[in-house]
Amino acid sequence: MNMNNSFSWKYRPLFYSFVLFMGLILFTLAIQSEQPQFYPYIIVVLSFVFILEIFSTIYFGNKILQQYSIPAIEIRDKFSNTIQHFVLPFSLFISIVMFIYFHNYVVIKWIILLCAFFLFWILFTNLRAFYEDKFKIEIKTHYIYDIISIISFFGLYDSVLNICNYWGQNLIITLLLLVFLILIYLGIILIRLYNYKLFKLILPYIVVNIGLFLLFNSLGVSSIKIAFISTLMYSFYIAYAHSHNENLKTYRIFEEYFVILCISIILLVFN
Amino acid sequence: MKDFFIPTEKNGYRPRLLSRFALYTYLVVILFVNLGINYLIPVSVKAELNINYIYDYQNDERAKRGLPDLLINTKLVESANTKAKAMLESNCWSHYCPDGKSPWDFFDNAGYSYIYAGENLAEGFISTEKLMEAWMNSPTHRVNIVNTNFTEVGIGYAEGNFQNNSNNMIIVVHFGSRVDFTPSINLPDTGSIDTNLVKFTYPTDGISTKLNTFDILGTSPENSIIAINLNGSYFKELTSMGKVFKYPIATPLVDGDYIIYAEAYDKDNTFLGSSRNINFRIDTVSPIIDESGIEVTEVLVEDNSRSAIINYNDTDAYEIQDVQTGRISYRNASGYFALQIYENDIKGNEATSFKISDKAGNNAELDIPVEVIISMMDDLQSPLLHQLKDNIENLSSNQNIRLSVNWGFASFLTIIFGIDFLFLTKTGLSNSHRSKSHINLILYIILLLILIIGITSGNILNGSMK
Repeated sequence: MNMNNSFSWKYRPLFYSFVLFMGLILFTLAIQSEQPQFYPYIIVVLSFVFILEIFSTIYFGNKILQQYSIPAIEIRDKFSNTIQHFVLPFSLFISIVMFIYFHNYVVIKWIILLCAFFLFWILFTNLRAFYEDKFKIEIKTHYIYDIISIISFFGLYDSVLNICNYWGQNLIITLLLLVFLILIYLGIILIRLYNYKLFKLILPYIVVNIGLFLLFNSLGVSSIKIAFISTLMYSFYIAYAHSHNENLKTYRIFEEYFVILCISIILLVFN
Repeated sequence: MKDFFIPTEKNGYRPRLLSRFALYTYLVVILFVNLGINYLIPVSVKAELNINYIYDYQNDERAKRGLPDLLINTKLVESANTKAKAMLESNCWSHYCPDGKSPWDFFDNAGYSYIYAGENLAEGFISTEKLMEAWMNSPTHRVNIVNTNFTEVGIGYAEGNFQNNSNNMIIVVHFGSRVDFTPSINLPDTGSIDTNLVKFTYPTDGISTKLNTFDILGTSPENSIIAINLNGSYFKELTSMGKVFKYPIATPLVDGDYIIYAEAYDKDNTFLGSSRNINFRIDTVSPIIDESGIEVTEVLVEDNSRSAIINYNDTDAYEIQDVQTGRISYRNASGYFALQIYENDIKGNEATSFKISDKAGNNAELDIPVEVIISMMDDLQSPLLHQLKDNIENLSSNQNIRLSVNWGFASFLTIIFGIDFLFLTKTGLSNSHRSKSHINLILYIILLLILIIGITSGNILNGSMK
């Protein structure tokens, strides 16, 4: 590995993560100082930086692979990779921006920003590893997509509830938006894992999820808690899909997930 | 000890603290703490929800931005209180409560004619400081608090069983500004300009006058003959001096409405042109004051000083003046007078005087004892505005116990799962016949995050804002 590569590997993901981190700090400062005229500019510039890093990584990474005459990847891989390497990261970016906008608490602001920094860092590192054939690093950091799925689902679900609250809380529109969001995210997981058998579970999952939403909403549970409960359900689904993929369909594994799910929901609801 | 925390071959890559038994134990303990403790430790603590603090905090935030203070308006307080009670009774948590009723309906029902209006809602907060911090940190709520369009505010609340919390408190803040807030906006009619050939400069159209003898003045073509008609009948003929004409009415006109009209002729008696009809009123009678028509309709509170909006209900009156300060209020678009009287101005006096005038300028004076006005202000204010709302028994301490235990558990599990995750990452995540550790880890990190927010930044988990 020459010096250029070394810089590229060690510092480029870090550099872009830092730029995004600083941009998000700017965004939170704009919110704090009530300068709404700057919001769109900051978001557009940050989006550009984000997309630039992803596309440049994919483009130049593929160029390197072509030199080794590695066979083209399948169509399904392309689709899955598009979701994994572009749709999910961008959803994460949007969900972080939305969450900062709706929950600009002084304490959480820095925690969220730091989390975002590390998530972007690991994500960009994984992307480069994937497209430049660094398998070991790719495998070690591959879990980031599950985490991104969970966090972005949470952020977007919470944003949907906040937006609907702000515009008058029309239950039908809220439900339609939530169903749409859940549908997209369940689909994303199954496409990522190439597990099309589990599509049959989408409908029951949506029914249970929406049922829980209606239940907790009628009990007056706050929207952030509902978003978190729904995220727990979503993570349970991801866990099940993983287990299904690896033929680990043992009772004990589901039992473990289920107990953790129960503990989490109780901690949330009663807090 | 290692077996308790770290996944190793010896413990089957499952730390003992994450064994099935351990997980079920956590579940039982958490269930007990969260469900059972409510019934075992019924201890109450004081909450510190303070309406004054909310009011002051909002104005401080406005002052930081160079904005004027919001005045407390009792109609807005009434609408906010009504909204809070309606939400409590219907157990409905939305801007559109109950049954989809718009917030603006409450403004209308309270008789507040707004041009701008806004609403902030909160429930489940323990402390006012946390509530205000939460509102100021929410762009959609902050925009109401520091909105330049709002001039007045009303803060209402309701306590009781709401949204599954038996000691809940709903806070409703109504912001507004209204077209008729500033007195003296309807100035007297200065008359109209006639564009026809003959023009009256006095009387002007629509004028009321207490003078029953006056000079009719006007302009016309040079040295023309002017024929004046009054109420459709020939009244007087005269010759203009240059381009002006003047006719002094010597015989007093009786009180009533008149229409005056003039035609101009040259010396050959050729018709040159005319004026348009001018309406005027002669009114020599002073207005009759009806003491019962005076009432305090609103109380405004600003920087610990109060003022009252005095409403005078008399169709004959045109303006009402506070004699001491000279402040005048004219009949506004809604048909009533709104004269603002400051408590500090009238304190120490026995009575305060009002001069009531009709449109013609006839006056009458009325003295009202200051104590009557203060009493009216108190009567209006006391049921609507609670100056201090502290020491409310709101939440029981078992909630604090629950919070501590839950926070402890979440932290503990996050640490255990964190260690588990780190070590499993080293050995490979998918070959240990375990649940995906990283999925559980992220859940606990988020849970811990939210618990931290809950503790440090107010009741983000329980306290809701809309």
